[in-house]
Amino acid sequence: MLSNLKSLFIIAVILILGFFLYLYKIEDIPPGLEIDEVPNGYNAYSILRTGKDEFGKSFPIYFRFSASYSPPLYAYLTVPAISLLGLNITAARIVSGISGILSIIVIFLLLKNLNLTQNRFVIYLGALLYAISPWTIMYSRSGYEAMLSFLIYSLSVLFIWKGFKRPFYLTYGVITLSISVYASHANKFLFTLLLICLTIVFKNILLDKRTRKYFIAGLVGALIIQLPNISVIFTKSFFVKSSLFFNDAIFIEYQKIKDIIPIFIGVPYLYAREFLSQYLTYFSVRSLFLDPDPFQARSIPNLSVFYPWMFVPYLIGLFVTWKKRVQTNYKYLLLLAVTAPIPAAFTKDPFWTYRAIPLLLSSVIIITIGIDRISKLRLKLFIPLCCLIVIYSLILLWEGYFIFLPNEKANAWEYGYQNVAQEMMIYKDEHFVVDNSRNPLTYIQLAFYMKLNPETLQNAVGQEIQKNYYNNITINPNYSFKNFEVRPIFWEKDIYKNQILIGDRLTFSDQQIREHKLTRVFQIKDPLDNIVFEGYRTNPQEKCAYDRIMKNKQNPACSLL
Amino acid sequence: MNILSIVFILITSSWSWELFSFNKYLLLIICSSSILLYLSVIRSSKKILYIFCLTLIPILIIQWKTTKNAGLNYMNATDEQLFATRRYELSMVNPNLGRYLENKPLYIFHKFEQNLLRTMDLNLYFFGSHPRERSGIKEFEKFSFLFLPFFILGLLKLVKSSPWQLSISFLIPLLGLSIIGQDNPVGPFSLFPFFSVIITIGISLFMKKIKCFLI
Repeated sequence: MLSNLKSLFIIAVILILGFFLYLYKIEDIPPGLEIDEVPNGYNAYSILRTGKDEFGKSFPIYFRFSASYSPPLYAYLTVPAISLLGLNITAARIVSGISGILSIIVIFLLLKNLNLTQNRFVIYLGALLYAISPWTIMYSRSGYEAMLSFLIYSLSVLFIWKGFKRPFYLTYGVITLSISVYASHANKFLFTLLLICLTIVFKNILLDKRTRKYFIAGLVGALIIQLPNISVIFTKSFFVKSSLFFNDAIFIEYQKIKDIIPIFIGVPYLYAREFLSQYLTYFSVRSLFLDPDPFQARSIPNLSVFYPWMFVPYLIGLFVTWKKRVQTNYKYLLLLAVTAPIPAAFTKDPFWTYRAIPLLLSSVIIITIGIDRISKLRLKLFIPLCCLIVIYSLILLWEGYFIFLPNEKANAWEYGYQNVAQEMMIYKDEHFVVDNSRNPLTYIQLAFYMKLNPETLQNAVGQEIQKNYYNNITINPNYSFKNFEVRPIFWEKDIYKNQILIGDRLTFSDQQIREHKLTRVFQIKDPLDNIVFEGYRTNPQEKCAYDRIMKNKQNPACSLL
Repeated sequence: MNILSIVFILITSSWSWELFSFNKYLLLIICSSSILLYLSVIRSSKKILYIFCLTLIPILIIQWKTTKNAGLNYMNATDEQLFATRRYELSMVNPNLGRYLENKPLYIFHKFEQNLLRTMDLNLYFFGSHPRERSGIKEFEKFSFLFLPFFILGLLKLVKSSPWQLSISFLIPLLGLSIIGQDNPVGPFSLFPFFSVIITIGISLFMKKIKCFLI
């Protein structure tokens, strides 16, 4: 092993690189706050100011938002960030950044403790490749729960592994895994699945006389931690993501073959096919090394979740891991790899990197094993080659993430709401109607950027939601505040009031602008010069005069002018 | 293991039927090639392997001739627009950056990478690329997904026992397909022998294990 000082120095360099990659221009890249980021930030602000979420619920177990009932840990950890930095994009994302940086240490410790590589240099290289991989970058720089849940999951994996030799770590490991349930919906299922698989595969270790009491203590601790979760198990909030499963699609598909194949064969066959196709995608070289995540806001242009060249060590690593599967460390790794994508594979969304983020851990380790195998070829230029490849990867990352993404994905990241909020604050004496026909969650974007008093939002929501918080899944996207409303534009009425109408590029057609005598107040464009939002002032008197002349009729609202 | 096993796979594969509708003679060459590869594996015969290599040549030529927009140079309208956009985005940072990071040689390299990794996608063969079907390409399941476990079993066995046969039957068509591309109505059929033989080996291994278990 390299001397401790050298080792610390190398890790420090990797951490500094991670610090830069995860926090540099975090306010601007990605551009805008995507809709799943905003509620974490705003609800954290609401908790800080009032001890309640946007609906007036005190310290909820899940944050309701748009009936998505998000796991709460990320939002609660964002509270101190908002207290220090204020309500802004950096504060909404910084917990992910810090989780990313800390996870580098955990990955390094895992690579060191699992003892899967012979070349010690490769452990540092593995930690470095993890730090710069697109999958890590994407989730360390966004206000989603993913990187936090990944950090906690990886920590639990490390503790459980250490527990195989020093049993008291098992207690920490199982408890940590239980905590991860509060950071991600997918971990709700992965927690149970992993525990069962670990108990079956490693029963000789976990149920041994020496370790049994620590394992059971961990389970008891985990159960206590799950009590808040258990208290809502019979509410709609617990299985809120059940609509993501592909049950309906299977039965629709079965209708095509029901005349040929009986249901007791056809449905299981289709289920097996659908699940296996989804599951295999998570190990596919095309998904891991070529094509970006299909969800626009979670993909980097030109890059997949790993760099293309990594498919070579990945395939080698997979083969080596399979060959040595009887050894405890490789068996443990295989178990992690096999179980990680299972919750995501049960959903209908293909290759959802958010849900399958636990797979990042085993994939990085497998790639590192592959690199270790290549290093055994004793190539003279192995280290210079590694340096070149790392530089090449960083160039791809810089190009894809820091240049292309802010331009090409601005719309996907809901760019423009900050500018809209700024314009609304300039014209603060005017009344606004903000069209939400194509984005029902516009209100929370504006609440975030305008730093709307949480009590205002809480009072705007009916008592009905507060009373039946974990079961009320109706969504009302329309809000009315002192000087602005968030709702669809009612063209028959809104043009006869003095106000500013705000909408996206599809809201206002040229004909409507001419006919309704609208005057443009502002226009917001994305970095590629496409219109994102426009604001138009109404001219009710002109409109009324126009109606009198052109249509020979008058809207009743005109008599009030 | 006998020749009937490979014939069974050739008959039951939906890919064979697609090839039959496309061109009967092509199917004949591919089936012969598959049988030759299978024989070279089970008999560990280099001679048969050389004959197999000879049959690969016309298959690769037909693959090339029947693939639309074959070649790494080809850029469709979408690619051209994206290329121009990316150059523009890079030029916003530095006027010379577009020349170094977005140019034809790099485009060709990325296209090669793309073709290579798409050809290696197992979902393409067992699930018709589901759930990530490619737009503008007619997808179909080459082999039933029920053969997937046998494929994996056969692959793990052959990597150790017959690396030469595996390498030649996989790497040469893979290289060819990475250059030619994927836009072919009957898919990457030059890999048909590789897949059919691996599946056959996998099934044979599985049957052996069942027999041992029963005895």
